[in-house]
Amino acid sequence: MSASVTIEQLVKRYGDARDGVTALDDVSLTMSSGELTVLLGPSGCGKTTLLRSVGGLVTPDSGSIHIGDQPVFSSADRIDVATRKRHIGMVFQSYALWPNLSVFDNVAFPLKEQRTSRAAIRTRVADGLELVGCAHLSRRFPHELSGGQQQRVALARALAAEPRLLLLDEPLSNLDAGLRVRMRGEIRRVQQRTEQTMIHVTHDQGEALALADRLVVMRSGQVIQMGTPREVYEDPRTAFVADFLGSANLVEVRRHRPDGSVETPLGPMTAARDHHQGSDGAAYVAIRQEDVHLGEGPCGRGCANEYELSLQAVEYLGDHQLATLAGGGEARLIARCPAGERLRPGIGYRVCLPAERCSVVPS
Amino acid sequence: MTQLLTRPTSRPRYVARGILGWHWGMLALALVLAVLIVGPLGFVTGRAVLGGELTTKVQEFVDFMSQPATLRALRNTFLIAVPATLIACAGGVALGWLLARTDIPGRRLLNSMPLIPILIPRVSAAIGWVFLLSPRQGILNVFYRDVFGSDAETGPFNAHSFLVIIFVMGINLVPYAYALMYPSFTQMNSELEEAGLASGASELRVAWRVTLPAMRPALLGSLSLCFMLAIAQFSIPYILGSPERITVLTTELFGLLTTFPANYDAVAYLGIVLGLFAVILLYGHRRLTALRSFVTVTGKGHSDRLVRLRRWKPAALAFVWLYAGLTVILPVGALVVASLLSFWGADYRLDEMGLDWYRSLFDHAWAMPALGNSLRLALVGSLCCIVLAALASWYGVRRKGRLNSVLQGLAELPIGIPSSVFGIGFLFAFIALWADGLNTSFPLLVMYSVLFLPFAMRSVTSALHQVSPELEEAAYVSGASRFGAFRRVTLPLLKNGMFYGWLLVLAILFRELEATVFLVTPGTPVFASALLDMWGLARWPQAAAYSVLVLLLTLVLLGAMSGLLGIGKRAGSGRRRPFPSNRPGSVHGGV
Ligand SMILES: Nc1ncnc2c1ncn2[C@@H]1O[C@H](COP(=O)(O)OP(=O)(O)O)[C@@H](O)[C@H]1O
Ligand SMILES: [Mg+2]
Repeated sequence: MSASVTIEQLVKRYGDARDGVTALDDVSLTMSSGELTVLLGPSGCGKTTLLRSVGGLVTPDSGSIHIGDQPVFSSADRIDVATRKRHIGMVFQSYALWPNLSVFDNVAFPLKEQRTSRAAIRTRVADGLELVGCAHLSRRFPHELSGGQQQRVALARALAAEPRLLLLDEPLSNLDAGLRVRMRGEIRRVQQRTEQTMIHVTHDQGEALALADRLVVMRSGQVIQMGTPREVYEDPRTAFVADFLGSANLVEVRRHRPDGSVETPLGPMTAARDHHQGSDGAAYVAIRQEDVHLGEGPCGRGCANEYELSLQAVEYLGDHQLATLAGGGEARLIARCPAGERLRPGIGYRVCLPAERCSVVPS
Repeated sequence: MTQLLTRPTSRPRYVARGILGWHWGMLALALVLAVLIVGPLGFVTGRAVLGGELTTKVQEFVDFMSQPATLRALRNTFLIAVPATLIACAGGVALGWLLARTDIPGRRLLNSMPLIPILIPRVSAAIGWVFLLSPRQGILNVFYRDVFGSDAETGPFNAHSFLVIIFVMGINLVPYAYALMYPSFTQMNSELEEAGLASGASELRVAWRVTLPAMRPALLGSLSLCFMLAIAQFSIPYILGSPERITVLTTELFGLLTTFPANYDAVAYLGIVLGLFAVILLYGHRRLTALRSFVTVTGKGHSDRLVRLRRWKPAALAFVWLYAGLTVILPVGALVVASLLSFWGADYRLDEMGLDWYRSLFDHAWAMPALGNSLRLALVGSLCCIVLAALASWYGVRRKGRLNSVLQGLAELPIGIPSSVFGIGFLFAFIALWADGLNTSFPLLVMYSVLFLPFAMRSVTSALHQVSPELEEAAYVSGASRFGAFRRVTLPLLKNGMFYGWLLVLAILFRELEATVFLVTPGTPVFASALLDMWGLARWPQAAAYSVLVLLLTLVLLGAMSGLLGIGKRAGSGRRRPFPSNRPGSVHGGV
C-alpha cells in the first residue's frame, strides 16, 4: 500500500514580502516507498511546514508534491488535493486524540470515513490496537491513558485506514527520556512490520540516527544534506551538519597549503576529505569528539596530525568524560574519553587526530 | 497500492474546499450578519436623514434637539450614566480582585455570585427598590423611622431621586464589569506581582502599581461597556424616575412612541444621538487601547499566588455580602413582602398578609400568556443566536484575513450599540419593509437572534480556544470533510461552552426590555412589558407577585438545567474532564 513521495521546488512563505519568513525555500526531495525518512533540523527550520504541506494542511506557494504518481499539489497545474483525499495518516505532537471518543472510536474514525463495514471495523481496530500493544485499552477514554499509551493509540489510529504514507510530527517530544527510547523502538518495529512509508520529524539527533532509513537535514527552510544516517554522521558536508549532528570539533582553517593540507591555529593538518574545494568563505576542519585521541607520550601510530595541547577542564558524565584541550591562541578541542581514564587538568597531552576522520567543510 | 494510486481524485480544487471552505461560508455569514445588524442601523439613519431637503432636515433636527425637554433628557442621561458607570466599574474591579486574587474564604463558591443580578429582571429590581425606598411606605423608610423614633411622615430616603437612580443602576451594572475583570485578574501572570513584592513593595502598593495597570485593557472595556449599558438603560430610570419627571433619552424615546400620533422623525433623531455616543465611545476606546497595547496580560492562564488578606478578611467578606444584599437579597426580599400585602400601603403585619395576588395572576388576562410568549421567544431566539455565534467564533479562532476581521467586527457590533437603537432600527426596518409583520412576534425573534450575539460568542470562543486545531486536522487526515470534522469533532467538544452561552443568552433575552419595548405588540406582550403595564396600572403588589413568580421559575429552570448537566457529567464518569471547563466567570468572559 505504501507509496513514494516526490517533492519538487517547494516554496512557502509566511507573512508579507517585507517582514515575512521563508519557511520552505526551494525544497526538492524524493522518498522511496517503504522507507522511513527523518527530517532533522533545529526548531524553526521548516520541518513542520514541509510535513504539513505533504499532508495538505498547509498550502505551499509554489512547487509540486506527488504521492506515488498522483500529483497532490502542483502550483503550475493548480492542483491541491484535499487532505482527506490524500490517503495519509498522521501522528501529531499532542497526539490529538479526540477526547469525546473512546480509544476504539478514535481508531475506528478513519475506517468509518472509508465506509468500512461494522464487522470489518471491529476486527481492524482490534488488529491495529494489537499491533501497538493497546488491545486492552479499547474502552478507555484518552484522558485515562498515560502519555505513552496515548502515543500508541495515536499511531494505531494513523495506521488504521492503511494509508499510503504516515506523517509523524515530533511524536516523541512529549514523552520522558526513557519512554522516548522505548517508543522510538516501537515505531521502528511497526514500520518494519507494515513496510509503511513514513516521514518522521524531529529535532533530536539521537532519535533521528536511530530511526532513519534516510536522514534529511534541514536548515532555514532548505535541505542541506541527505543520506543514510551513517553517511551523514560520518561525512558531514558542512560545518552546520557536523555541529548539529553529534557536536563535532570545528577547527578554523587559516589557509590551504599547496600540498593539500591546511593550516590551522593548532598547526598544519591533513584531512582525508575536502568539501570546501571550489567554494570560498570560511572553512573548518571537522573532527568528532570520539576521534580525538589523548596520550601522555607520542601515539606511535604515525599520525599525520599530532599536537601538544594542555588539558584545561574535564567534565565527568558517568559513562564517559569530556576533556577540553587548548593549544596556542584561541583553538580548543573537545575529546571524548573513556570514563575510567585518569585525566589531570593543567598537564600537557599529546593529541592525535587521524587524518581519515578529518574533513574540511565550509561554514 | 496501485489501486489506490490510480483512483481518480475527485475534482481537485484550489484553496477553497468543502461546505465550510472559508471563503463562501464566511461570506454568507458576513452577509447575514450585515443584513441583521447593520441593516436596522441603516434604517434609523435613513429615517433621520432622508425624506426631505437636507437643510430642512438639519433645521428640524436642531429645533428638536434644542427643545427644553430633549436637553433635559440629554443632561439627565449624562448625570446618571457617568456616576453609575463609575460605581459599576469600582464594584467590578473590587469584586474581581477579591474573588480572583485574594484568599477570601469560599472564593470558589462565591466567584459566580456577582453575576446573579443578571438573572433578575431589571424591571423587578427597580420595583423592588421602590418598595424599599418609597418616601412614605418604603420598607427601609418605615424601618428607619421606627428605629429612630422619627415623627416625619416621609423619608429619609426617596426612591424617586437622582441619587437612588444612580445607585440602583450602578450596582445592577456591576456584573458586567465583573465579567470582564474577573478573567483578566485570573489570567494575569502572578510573577509580575512577585517581582514587585521582591523589590520591596507592599501588597497594596503592588496591587495599585502592578496589578491594576495590567488590568487597564479590561478596565477600559468595562468602562465603555457599562457606560453603553447605562445610557441604554430604560426600566430603572422609567420606574424610579417617572413620578418625579426625571427623564432620560430612553424614557423620552418611549414617550415619543407611546403618545399619539407617534413622532417617528423625533425617534430617529434621538436614535442617532444615542448611536453617535456609541460611535464616539467605540472610537475613544480604540484609541486608548491602541495607545496601551504594550500592556499585555501574559501568563500561564492561572495565577497560583493569592494575596493574603489577613485581618482584612472579615471586611472583604462583608463587602461581598453587602453587594449580594443590595443587588439580590434586599430587592427580592422587598418584592416578596410587597407581594403578600393586600394592598400597597397596608401595615406590614403577618396576619394580614396572604397569597391572593399570586392567585389573581392565574386569572389575569395577559400575565400567563406573556410569560409563555417570553419563554418561547427567548428559547428560539437564543438558539438562533448560539448557532450564529458558533459559526462566527469558529471562523474567528481558526481563520485569518480581511474578510474574517470584517465578520468579527460585525458580530461584535451589537455590544457597542445601545440596544434601544437596535429596537428602533428593527421597528423602522419593519415599518418600511413589512409593516404587517409588526403585529407578530417575528420582528422580536429576528432581533433576539443577533442582539446578544457577542455574549454568546464569548462563551463559544473561550471553549473553542481549548479545542486544539490539531484535533480537527486529525479528522481531515482521517478522511473527514471540513463539515464532517466540525460536526463530529468540534461540535461535541463545544457542547458545554455552547450550552452555557445559550443559557446566558436565554436568561438575558427572557427579561430583555430596552429594545423589546419598541417592538412588542400590545396583543402579544412579553413578560417584561406585561410587568411594566401592570406597574402602570398601579397594581403594585400584583406586579411584585408576578416578579417573584418569574424569579422562582428562573430558579427552577436553571436548577433543572444545571442538574441535567451535572447528571450528564456523572453518568460519563468523569469522561468530560478534558472538556473545556466553563466557570461562570469565564463564560461571559468578555461581555
Ligand atoms: N502559521 C504561521 N504563520 C507565520 N509563520 C509561521 C507559521 N507557521 C510557521 N511559521 C514560521 O515558519 C518557520 C518554520 O516553522 P516550522 O515549520 O514550524 O518549523 P519547525 O517545525 O522546523 O520548528 C518558523 O520561522 C515559523 O516561525
Ligand atoms: Mg515543528
